[in-house]
Amino acid sequence: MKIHTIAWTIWLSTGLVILLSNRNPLYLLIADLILIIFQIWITPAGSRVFSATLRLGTTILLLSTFLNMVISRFGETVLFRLPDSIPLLGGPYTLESMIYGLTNGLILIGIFSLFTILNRVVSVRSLMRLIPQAFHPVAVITSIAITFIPASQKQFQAIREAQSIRGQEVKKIKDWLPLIIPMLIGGLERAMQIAEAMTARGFTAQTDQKPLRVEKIALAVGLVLILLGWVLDLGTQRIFSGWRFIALGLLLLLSLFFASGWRKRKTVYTKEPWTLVSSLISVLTLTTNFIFLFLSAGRGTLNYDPYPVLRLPEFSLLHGFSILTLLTPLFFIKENQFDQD
Amino acid sequence: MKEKILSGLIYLLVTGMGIFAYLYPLLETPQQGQISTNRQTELPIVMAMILALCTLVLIYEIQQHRLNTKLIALLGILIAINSILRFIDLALPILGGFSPVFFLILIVGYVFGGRVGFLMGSLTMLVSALVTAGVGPWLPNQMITAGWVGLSAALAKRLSLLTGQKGKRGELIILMVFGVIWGFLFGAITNLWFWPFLNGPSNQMFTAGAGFAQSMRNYGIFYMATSFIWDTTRAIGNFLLLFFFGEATLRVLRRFQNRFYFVQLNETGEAR
Repeated sequence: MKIHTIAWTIWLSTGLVILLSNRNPLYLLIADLILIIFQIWITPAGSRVFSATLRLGTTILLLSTFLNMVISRFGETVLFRLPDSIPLLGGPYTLESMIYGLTNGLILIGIFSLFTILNRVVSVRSLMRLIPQAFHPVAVITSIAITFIPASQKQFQAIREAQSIRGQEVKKIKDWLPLIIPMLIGGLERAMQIAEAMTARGFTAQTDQKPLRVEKIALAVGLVLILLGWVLDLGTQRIFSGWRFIALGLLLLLSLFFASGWRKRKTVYTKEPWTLVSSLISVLTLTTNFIFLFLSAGRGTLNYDPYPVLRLPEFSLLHGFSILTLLTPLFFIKENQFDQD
Repeated sequence: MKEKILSGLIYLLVTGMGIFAYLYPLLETPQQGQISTNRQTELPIVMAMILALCTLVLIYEIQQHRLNTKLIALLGILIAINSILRFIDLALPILGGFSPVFFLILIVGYVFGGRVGFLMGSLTMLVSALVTAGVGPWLPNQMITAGWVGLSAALAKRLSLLTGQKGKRGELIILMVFGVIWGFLFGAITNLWFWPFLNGPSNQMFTAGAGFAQSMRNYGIFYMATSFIWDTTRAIGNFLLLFFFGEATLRVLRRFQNRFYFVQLNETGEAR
């Protein structure tokens, strides 16, 4: 069943919230396992993509653990000790530093997996449609660029063949000039044709009226507010102490973008349907966001610190189960459905 | 005039915020050590958010004024060409940090102005990330830094105007200097995105609350140890590309610039 791109984006945000808002290895391990299962499900059998991802994940995990053990000698459970006479490497190696490094690795693997999955399940066109209406000229530029990449590749190939028929060989850097310049000129000629075609069809990126001065002032004020909140946050000893200014600045900028987008009419050839499944995924994953960000019950289990003596991380059933919502899309997509991507 | 001042203020604020976003973890004083440690999970989110916001605001501001159909089509095609060029550095990592994309970003920024250069840089990163499945939290960082490469080309243009080198050999030398500087600077800036969150030898790594001078010293050692040689290949690559193809590309783009921009005259022959 089709899942809407926005539902995928909400799913992504939940993954990021889970991975970045806690340091409990148990939660991170659950999240990583879910994402690995997800990748196995959507990757066709025999594909190298998954094995490459797995290799990279293992490397990240080992490197992160090893480096943290080398750099951090804190902790009371000594696993082994190298002679102090060995520069940099000498000294005790602790279980606590190993777990800390492992936790870092789990976070990195999770983030990497999340984006690998998103890139696989959402098509380029759908990602492009996420560009807000306020940025419609940028969306058009992106659309033209993506459409013309295959055409430009073909053009490059044609030029290369034409030049080799003339005896042109690419041996030195300078030999690329007869390939690059015709490609550039051909591309620019094509740009002229596109521009004329767009104008002939009534497209214009310029609005009838000049941008309002109040918009510019709002942009500047929004930025100043965010900067102010941020500096306040840094200057004082409390985390997020300037969040009111940051929130106000963000609200101002987002309202401005929204208002600007509202003025432009947007039409789509085929509208992506919002299905019941999309609603289900969005509601479930947003609930997980709420649990991880705002729920006070079980909040203490998120900030796990292995130092100075390793202890078992606490586990909140609610938080643990809520991570499982990341699996929801799997129940609605077919195995290897994304082969064509 | 007021509009120009406002635009200038917005550019200044956005650029300042972007620089601040990169340097923000390094600015914390020893007194803030504890809070910095608590911020380990907050830092990357704030940095990615601020950089994404800076990129959005700049793009929004630029598109309000400068983008007509010709420029939209031109940018679309040039970004397509540049994205193909980016396949080279993705397919051939053996060449180190060498990437042919900066060549076109610099030249487009030089010929069409810093604003168009910014769009060229940031959208090249966006489009190539879309087609190579490279979308990730690193994207805002790459977009704004590549955007700065294009934006800075306006400075190169100002320099060649000031030295009377526009249209002469000197302008290419100025561009080559910019290419070499950005070869190193692009790596140095983009490293800052992940460096505060890395583990490694203590004299190379970010220590929460160590202070600016100590952090910069550690970063310098880290950069020299891990990135200098990698970035040198990028700087040399930029230099060579500008040296061999710069002049011809400038000529082509200028010829098309004349065709892209035209002035509509009224009955008396004055510009409307």
